[in-house]
Amino acid sequence: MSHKLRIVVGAAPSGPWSALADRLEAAGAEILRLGPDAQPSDLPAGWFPDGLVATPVEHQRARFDRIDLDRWEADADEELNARFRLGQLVARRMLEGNGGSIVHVVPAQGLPGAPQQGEAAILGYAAAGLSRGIALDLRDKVRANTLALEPDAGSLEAAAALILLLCGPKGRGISGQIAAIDAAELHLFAQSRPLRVAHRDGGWDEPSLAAQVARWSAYLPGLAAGGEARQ
Amino acid sequence: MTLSPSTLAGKVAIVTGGGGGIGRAVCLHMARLGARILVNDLGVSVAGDQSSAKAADVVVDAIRAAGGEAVANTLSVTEKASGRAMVEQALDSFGRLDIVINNAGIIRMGAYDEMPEADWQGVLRTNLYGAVHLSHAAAQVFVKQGSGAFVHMSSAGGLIGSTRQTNYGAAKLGIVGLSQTLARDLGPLGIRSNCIVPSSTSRMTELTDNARKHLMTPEALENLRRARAASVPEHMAPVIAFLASPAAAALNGQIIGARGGELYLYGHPSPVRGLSSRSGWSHQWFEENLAAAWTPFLTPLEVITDVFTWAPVPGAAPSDS
Repeated sequence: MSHKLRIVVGAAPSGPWSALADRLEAAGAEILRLGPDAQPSDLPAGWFPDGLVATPVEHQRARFDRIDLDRWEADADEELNARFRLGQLVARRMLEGNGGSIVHVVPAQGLPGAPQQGEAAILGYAAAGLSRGIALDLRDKVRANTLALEPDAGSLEAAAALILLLCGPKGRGISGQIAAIDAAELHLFAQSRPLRVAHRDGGWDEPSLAAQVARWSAYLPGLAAGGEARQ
Repeated sequence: MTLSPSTLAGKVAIVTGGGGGIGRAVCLHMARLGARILVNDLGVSVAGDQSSAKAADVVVDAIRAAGGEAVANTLSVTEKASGRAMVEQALDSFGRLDIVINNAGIIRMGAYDEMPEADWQGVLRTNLYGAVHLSHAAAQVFVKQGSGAFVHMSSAGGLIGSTRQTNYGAAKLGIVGLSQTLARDLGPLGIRSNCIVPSSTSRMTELTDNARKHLMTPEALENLRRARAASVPEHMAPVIAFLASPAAAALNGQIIGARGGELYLYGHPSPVRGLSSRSGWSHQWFEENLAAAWTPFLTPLEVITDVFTWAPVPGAAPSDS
């Protein structure tokens, strides 16, 4: 690195994701830890961040019909509102300076998904939607990407190295993307786009739709069962 | 009411946001096919903050006048208790529940750096939390009976991306996460869940199109105008009804788009470019290699009109509005 990158990390002070800030610091970044209720005054005057890393809360694991709905709502409020609030606060400061990069870290079990990981999936996909929207809205100065990983030591170290790249000058061409990383593998994701298109002059009805779906049977994407999607 | 042969005959469906736009068209279409409908609609503006006429009652009256069966519900999907209440009302009214169509949604537009947090939360609570509440309540019934179908309204604004809609995009991609979860967790129990990505004329699309006019080329704007003209809510209704019906038994966890007379099968977010390291990753390795490895595979920073660059051929004339 030509200069020490300044990175804001939004993460709980304890828990599995808290170590990511330490990894980034050990990798050479200057870190500012902010909680979900951070105010503009929490950013030092004249301090222009190169990056923001927003992390998830700890999610409950249960089949969807068995999740605790009260906890789901509390977790969704805490995680999604913190992503929005911190991102906006830091993005405004980035816009005053030379821009920067926001990285939304999500659990690999949620994106693309795994059994009994509904909370992680719903909130992970929502984070990816927010990230894509930021990348489009602020494209001239602020980049935004989504990075899926598990909070084990090897994945956190790998993620720290990639986050430094994304927040630095060599990451300027990367925005609006989704990727997953662990100690051994890095996957860039394709995002949802039409795979097949059909047209019917007379409009669609139940028999014609059933026939069309049958013609598409070889192309139907499979569901990710263990954290990987197949297509 | 003329009942066309359909696997929906006798089924019971809850349709949120059923008082207007696509929701209204879906209620009327499914009722015409013999389904019994709980029409949920709070009766609000497209921004979700103004009370209007009792839209649910109007749709229920129309269904009954045509010989169908329907009941109205005016609870807000944003309240956690509303999901269970809607399910109980459907069971009390019709004795069963087979289908949930999570359609209710609002839009509040604004650039991300200027968006009030109330607009972020308002859209998330209606478009995403509301669907989670109702799906969770309905899942209890579906699991017990070993059958059921969910259809969730997603959006190309979430899948592809759109400007001035970080709240809407987050909610609509979150809906995909919800649908995939239901499909994955409950599919083995005989329950299906799919997303519909509609392109239609509605109060919502008028609002979003007007807000983006200045960002489009004249050609893109004309294509969008023609696309909207070719797609009215009544064109979307047969596709949504099909996804909810037993005739769509082969579909679970899918994302289906509809636009005029066009039908789309969407891919899922999934790995497209894999790299492996035997010795662990380093910042230096990424600096030297990542751009070359990734650049050909990056998803462009594109919006809906960049992907759909043509206007669809109009669908058939609506026959059941």
